[in-house]
This record gives sequence, C-alpha cells and structure tokens, in this order.
Amino acid sequence: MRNSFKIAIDILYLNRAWTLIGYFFLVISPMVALVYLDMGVSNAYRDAVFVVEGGKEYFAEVLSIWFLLLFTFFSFGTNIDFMRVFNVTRKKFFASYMISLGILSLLIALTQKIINTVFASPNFVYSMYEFIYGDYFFVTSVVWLFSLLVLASSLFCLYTSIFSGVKDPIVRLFMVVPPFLPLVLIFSGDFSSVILFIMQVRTFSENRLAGNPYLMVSLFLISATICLFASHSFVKKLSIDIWQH
Amino acid sequence: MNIIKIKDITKIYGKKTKALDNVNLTIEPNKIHGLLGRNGAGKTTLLNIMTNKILPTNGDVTIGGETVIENDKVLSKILYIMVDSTFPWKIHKVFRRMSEFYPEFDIEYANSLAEKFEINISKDSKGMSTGEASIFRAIVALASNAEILLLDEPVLGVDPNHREMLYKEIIKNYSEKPKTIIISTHLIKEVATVIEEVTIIKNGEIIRNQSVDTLLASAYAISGRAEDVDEYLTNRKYTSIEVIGESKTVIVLEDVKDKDVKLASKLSIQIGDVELQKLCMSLTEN
Repeated sequence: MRNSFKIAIDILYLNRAWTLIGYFFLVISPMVALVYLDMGVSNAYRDAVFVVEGGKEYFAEVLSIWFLLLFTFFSFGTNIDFMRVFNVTRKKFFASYMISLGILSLLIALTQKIINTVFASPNFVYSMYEFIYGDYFFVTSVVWLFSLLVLASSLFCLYTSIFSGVKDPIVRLFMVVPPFLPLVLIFSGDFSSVILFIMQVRTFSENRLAGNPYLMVSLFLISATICLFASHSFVKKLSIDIWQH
Repeated sequence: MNIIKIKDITKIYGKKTKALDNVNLTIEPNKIHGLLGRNGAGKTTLLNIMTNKILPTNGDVTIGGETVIENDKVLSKILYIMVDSTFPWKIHKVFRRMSEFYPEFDIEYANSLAEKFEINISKDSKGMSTGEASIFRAIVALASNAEILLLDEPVLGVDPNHREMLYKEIIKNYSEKPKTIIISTHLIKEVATVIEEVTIIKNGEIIRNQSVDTLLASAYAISGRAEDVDEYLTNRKYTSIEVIGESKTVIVLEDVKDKDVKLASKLSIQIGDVELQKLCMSLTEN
C-alpha cells in the first residue's frame, strides 16, 4: 500500500508540466519582477502595488492564491482518474490531495519570502540566523503566508468538490464565474481595488486580533480544518459517475 | 481465502434509476468467473461497487470477511481494469508505476507480453488504438499478480488472432498463479471456454450464479416440426423460440437428465446441447 505522502508526490508529478509553468509565471516571475525590477504594469497597478505599504506582498499573495485555485480546479479530474486506476480510496486520495496542496503552499510561501527578503536589500549580507530569526520575521511571515495558502487550498478543495457534484450546466456556469472575477478585474484595470480590499480585510482582522499574527494563523488553520471536513464529506460521496457525467 | 461476498447490494442512481436491486452473491476464490448480462443490466455498476469506485445505496461487499468500502488493505488485492482505464504515461513508465502500487507487479513478464503482442512500450499509453489499449490493459492486469482481477470487456476492439492469444495467456497465467478472475463481457461464445463459473445479471438482479457445467446441464435444445415440438413442450418450461419454415427450435429449461428421449424419438425431435451464449441470451430476454 502506497502511503498518502507518496501519493501526494505522485499527484504533483502527475501535474508537473503546467504546475511548473504556473509556478514560474504566477509565483516566481511576478515576485522577482516586482521586488527586484520595481516594475509597474500600469498606473493603476503601480499605485496599488508600490505606493501602498505592503502592496507588493499582497499582489504576490493574490497571484499565489490564484495559482492554487487553478491547480486545485484543473488537477482534480486528472487526479480522480489517477485514483480510479490505482484503486486509491477516497480517504487516501483526499489526504494526499491536501498534502500536495500543503507542499505547494509551503513552496510558494518559502519562495516568496526568500525572494522578497533577498532582493529587497541586495546589498545586505545576512547570516543564516539573521535570515531566519532576524528582524525580517522570516519564519513568522512564512508561517502566516503558509496558513493563508492552506486556508485558500482547503476553500478551493471544498469549492471543487461541490462543483464536481453539481450536474446542472447552468448552476456550474454560475459557480465558475466568481473565481474568475479577479481575472476580469485585472483586465478591466481595477485590480488595485482587489488588492486594497484584501488589505482592508487583513488590517481589520489584525486589529480585531490585537495585531497578534499567531491568533491570525490559528484562526486561518481552524477555518481550513472546517473547510477540509466539509469538502471531505463531498469527496466521501464522490463517485466516478458523478465526475464523468 | 479471498471469498467475495456481496450482501444486499442496492444501487439507485438519482431518485428513480435502480441499477442493482438487493443483489446477494458469493464468488468463490481462485476461479475464473464470467459476469454476463445485457447492456444496462448492472454489470459495471456491480464491478464499480466491488472496487469502491462507487458507493452502494444499501448493502456491503466483503472480501475475506473485510469490507471493501474505503478499505485500503482489501483494495490493494484487487486490480480492476475498466474499459476506459487510462494511464497518463508511456507504457514502460506505466509498468514502473504499477510496480509502486502493486509490489508483486512483474515488469519482465509485462515486457515479454508487450513484445509478444507487438505493443511498443515506448509509445504513449493514451495514443493507442482501441484494440491495442485493450491488450495493454490486459497485460497490466496479468502482470500485476493481484489476487483478484476484474476485467471489464478485456478484448474490446482486439482482432481475432490477438483475442485467441489473449485468452490462452489468461488461462496460462491463471494455471501458473491461481487467482480470482472476473470477466465481464458480451462475447459469451469466446469466453465460454475460459470461464468456470457464471453469473448472469438481468435488470439489476442476479438470475443465475453457478458453474458453467451446471448451467449448461440445466437446459437443452430441441428442434423438429413445429407441432411435434409443441407437443413435447406440454407442461415444460421453455424459452428462445426460433421458427424457420415448418421447423422450430426451442431451449427447454429443464435438467438434461430429465429429458424425455423416448418421446423425442417418437416425435422425431432432435435433442442437443445448448450453447452458453444462446442460453444467456434467452435467459436475459425481456
């Protein structure tokens, strides 16, 4: 019997081609471009991303979350086929899927923080201790970002598992629209408002939680657990006939 | 021992479509079973439930006393090759991946079978013709050395030469390493020489579950002049009436031992064995 962790690696390997492409274009490239080149795509983006404090990070977070959404949504069907041919149980499939999303989230969080920390002050020479535990709160911010992405992953897993159970094409069409709204906003030039909205939510949450990042992380992880349980109940009922027809 | 017990299985799709209706079945281990029935009879649904692919509305399937529902240990004993099983890799890579999921998978044997059936292992498993894909899936199944093999239409689209070779390979594999093999197919005539046990399913219900010999001994065919045949059939159960001109052929649903040779001889009726395909067709007629 292959364990869940190995199957999670199988899932990542199975979707490797476009995962790597998505990872490069939605996680690494924008981050490098934003932090190192200080590049503005248009005035609207520039205001939101560079003028507002923390805008760059939020922009990168939004892209990372979007990448996770795409990964969850488009890899789900392929992974169900994979589960079918190798007789993997729903329980194991679900656990492996979440582990694969967790690995991706951790990779994204680490990538972002490393790029941000290194490129933000290219002339500064770090010791490893400073890099990890120094003023830059590397560990804290990785944990924060990781918990945010785990929450996003579990939400998308819930969304995709509900989507997989819906047969009505009209309801499906309505369900597809909301996740693509940010994309519409990007092309309509109103992406700055998306970033500002996320920033307001975060500031509001931080104020409510007296600025305690650990409380925030805990809250995210509790929400993620609720989403996981909810989506698990959908995956449990999942039959190949539901996905196929 | 891996006795498969299907207990009170009912599967209802949506609110009304009853695919399986209170199915009870015991499948003896280390035998080759044929699962026969018409389209939509519930064969694939039953195989899907037996492998936890879909969940039953009611009932349970156990293998060796343990449920198959979400049971990794039991499911690792089964390999179910579906008609639309697709592997997203090149063939040689599929063999390698199979050995990760099925530790007993014999890569050398798989390669030798691929060579025998002229399957190019550097080819993408998704880009094969229907016949090649069927052979490839059968190779994967045979080389897996799983204790239970479920084969859904294993020779779909395969040419007659390769079909013959494949049946021989299944028998050879089975005689060297006995295992439970369940073959679901419509090609009853061909599979009749391979299977030992037969399960016939009709409208979601099991109507027969016995050895092929017992099933064939439970009926016989008679043919002769229509009036003579009708006279012979008085107070007898029969099915599958074929009339050509004045001649009539009927399958009598009665033990071969109970056939009335004297009466048949008096009426100039010929008595013969019934073919499995004919019998299945007549039993599953609506």
